[in-house]
Amino acid sequence: MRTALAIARKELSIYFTTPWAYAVFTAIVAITSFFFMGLLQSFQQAQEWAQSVGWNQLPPELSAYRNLTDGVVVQLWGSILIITLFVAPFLSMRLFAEEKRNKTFELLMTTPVRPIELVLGKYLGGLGIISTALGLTIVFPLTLSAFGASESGVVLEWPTVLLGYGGVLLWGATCMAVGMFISSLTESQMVAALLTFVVLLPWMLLRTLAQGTEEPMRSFIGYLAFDSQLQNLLQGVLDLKALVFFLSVIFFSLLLTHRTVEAQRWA
Amino acid sequence: MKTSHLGKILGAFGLLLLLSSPATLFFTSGSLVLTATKAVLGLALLAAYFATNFKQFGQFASRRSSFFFGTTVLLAVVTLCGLLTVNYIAFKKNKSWDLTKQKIFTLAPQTSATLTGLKDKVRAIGFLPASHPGYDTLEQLFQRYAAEAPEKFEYSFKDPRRNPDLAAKYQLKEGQATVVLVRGEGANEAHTTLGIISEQELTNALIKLSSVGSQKVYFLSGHGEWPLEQEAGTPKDPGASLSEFRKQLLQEGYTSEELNLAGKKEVPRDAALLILAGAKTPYTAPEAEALGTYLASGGRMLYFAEAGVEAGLDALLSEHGVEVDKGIVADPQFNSGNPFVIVSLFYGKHELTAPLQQRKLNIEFPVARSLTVLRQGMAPGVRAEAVVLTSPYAWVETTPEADASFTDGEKSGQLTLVAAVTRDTRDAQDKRFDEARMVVVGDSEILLDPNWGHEANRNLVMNALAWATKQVEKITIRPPDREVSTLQMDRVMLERIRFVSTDLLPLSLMGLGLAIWLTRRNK
Repeated sequence: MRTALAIARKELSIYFTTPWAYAVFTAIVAITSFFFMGLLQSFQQAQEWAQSVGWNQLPPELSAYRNLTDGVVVQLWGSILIITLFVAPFLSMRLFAEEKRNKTFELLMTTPVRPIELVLGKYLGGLGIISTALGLTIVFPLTLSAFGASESGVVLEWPTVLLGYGGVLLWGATCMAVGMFISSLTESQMVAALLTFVVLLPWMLLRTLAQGTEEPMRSFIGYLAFDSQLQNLLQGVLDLKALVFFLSVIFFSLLLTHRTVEAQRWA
Repeated sequence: MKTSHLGKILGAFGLLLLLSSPATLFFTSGSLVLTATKAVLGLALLAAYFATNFKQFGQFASRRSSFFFGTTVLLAVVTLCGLLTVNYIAFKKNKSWDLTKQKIFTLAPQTSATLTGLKDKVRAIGFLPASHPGYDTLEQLFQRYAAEAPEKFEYSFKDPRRNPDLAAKYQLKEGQATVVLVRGEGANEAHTTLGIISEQELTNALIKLSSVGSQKVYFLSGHGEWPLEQEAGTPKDPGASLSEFRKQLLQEGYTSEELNLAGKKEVPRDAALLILAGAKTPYTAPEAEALGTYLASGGRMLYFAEAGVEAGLDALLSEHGVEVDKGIVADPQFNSGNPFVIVSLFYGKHELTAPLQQRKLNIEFPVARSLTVLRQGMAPGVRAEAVVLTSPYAWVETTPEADASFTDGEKSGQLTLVAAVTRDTRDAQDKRFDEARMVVVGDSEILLDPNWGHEANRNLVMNALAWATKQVEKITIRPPDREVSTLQMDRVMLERIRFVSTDLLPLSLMGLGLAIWLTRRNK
């Protein structure tokens, strides 16, 4: 494990001294902030409207705007999921592909590092960078908490906010695991990023596909969809099945990565 | 081209066909024939590949890397099976924790109690296309019910356009978003429908479906009433039976039986409702007395009058505030081509007809008698109300055989066709219910099979039945909501937040990246 942590540390130091990572951070924060401001404006408009006519007179779909947690943060987490879908492939693409392209992978394989340590180290490094990237977005709920107001004094429902945030991080961790496996298959970073996106996007949209099918296929596909697994977590409901599902995807991706790395010895 | 090379191309196509065949079955055409064809063709092409590349297989099998490949595939498959099992268990035995402050995603205690109290399994079918705005909400609601009582509640979604037979079975109209709750199987199947998607409505529908199962509806017989079975209809008038009405009762979970009161002093205690439909000969005095006792003790009754027949119930009905007028109703304007076939769109203010009025449905009465709602001379605690009326231009034709025009002395104006009666029976001895309920309808032919297809008539009868039996006390569940919280900020503050989040923060990160790049470049 110590070796894995050392590899993770090295990965992180590489990431944090690469301008590329900051470009990704900037992109995440910039895009999220636009979503945030949009939601904030919609929230303000709904609040003003409700003040003049009352909440009962507003369409039911606007009832989410009664509350900052529902009206802004829950929806913001939803947007960040989509942003992560685009960003994670760019963060995961270099994990193995870069080593292969630079021909340092063979060197790595000759060191006394076990493939499992290599995979775990790389993954922990990737996890660190995606967590940092997504961690920057916590600034938005903090802003709301600073400027918001409520009768009870509690502006945001922090258990809901933090659970949703946990869901976002879990999603990021899953994207990194899938991305790392794909990165281990190729030496082209662009191919790795593109393939990761091509795998994650339809997987995310499986729920829509499931809605067009009949039982029991509907439940089966619906269960496999990232979107439906994340839905409850974002809204403040901790689902055991969602945790099991995401950990399963991560575990299986790591296993496949390990076998791919191991295969280099046998090739 | 070499045979082995061609085999490889064929094999690749075969693999594609084989792997995509489930998609054909579940997502695209849904045709079993096409799926099988694709799978068989795929297998054949793969076989061609194996046959033309047999030699290479021998070499592949002897390689060290092939062994690794084999163990990897095996390991992946075994792990996948293990993970699928764990996920299946997690799916079936899922545990959820609602961390919201107001527990907005937790079912109300009334719902939990209702689900726990269900005796039989209930299947909920959401007849909604995936594009419906309420689809996600309903799915989440169903999921919570199923998680609360996985053994008692299961759900599915059906697109009514893709399942027209099923929609027809539950008499759903095209485009009507609704939920059907079904209990039991085959002949014992009972169902109820609801249109509004909310926890309150869904739980109330569950209560209704559970409670009606034990309710027995008696059809009075012995005086030429309409038969319950189609086979019992007369050869002259083969459609003159109540078989469709009875079928609907069964579907809604009621049990129905004939009851002959001759020689009996009282209506059975298990009667949830008594229906008198189209008696052709008068009831005897003891029978009328038994009916009077039944109502006085809080009984529930539907009386469908028959044109030209004196049923011998005048005293009983007038005691309950209703008189059945002699003759039949005619209307020059609101009819269906025949002045005696009345089309009514005139409703009194009553919960029985509120849904009909809301949907602006026209009721059609083939041969109706009008009613007079009395204001005095009734038994204590009786309240009678007109719930369906004719237009203001109607009259009572006392000699329909002779003419179809209004003559002096005939009752005219807006006549009552259906009346609803309640009677306070809280102080009655040996009471059945605290309130007796009766609906008097001036026409019994609306119940007959040929007329049962008319949606408005069917709704009127089933609403009357539901109102009279007063099936369940509906529960009220206040939907929980998060506490209202707001942002108190003016335009300046909003602009500051905008500046910090969309400008300062991204720029700082970009600047940091630039600094690192420049530092590394200068090293």
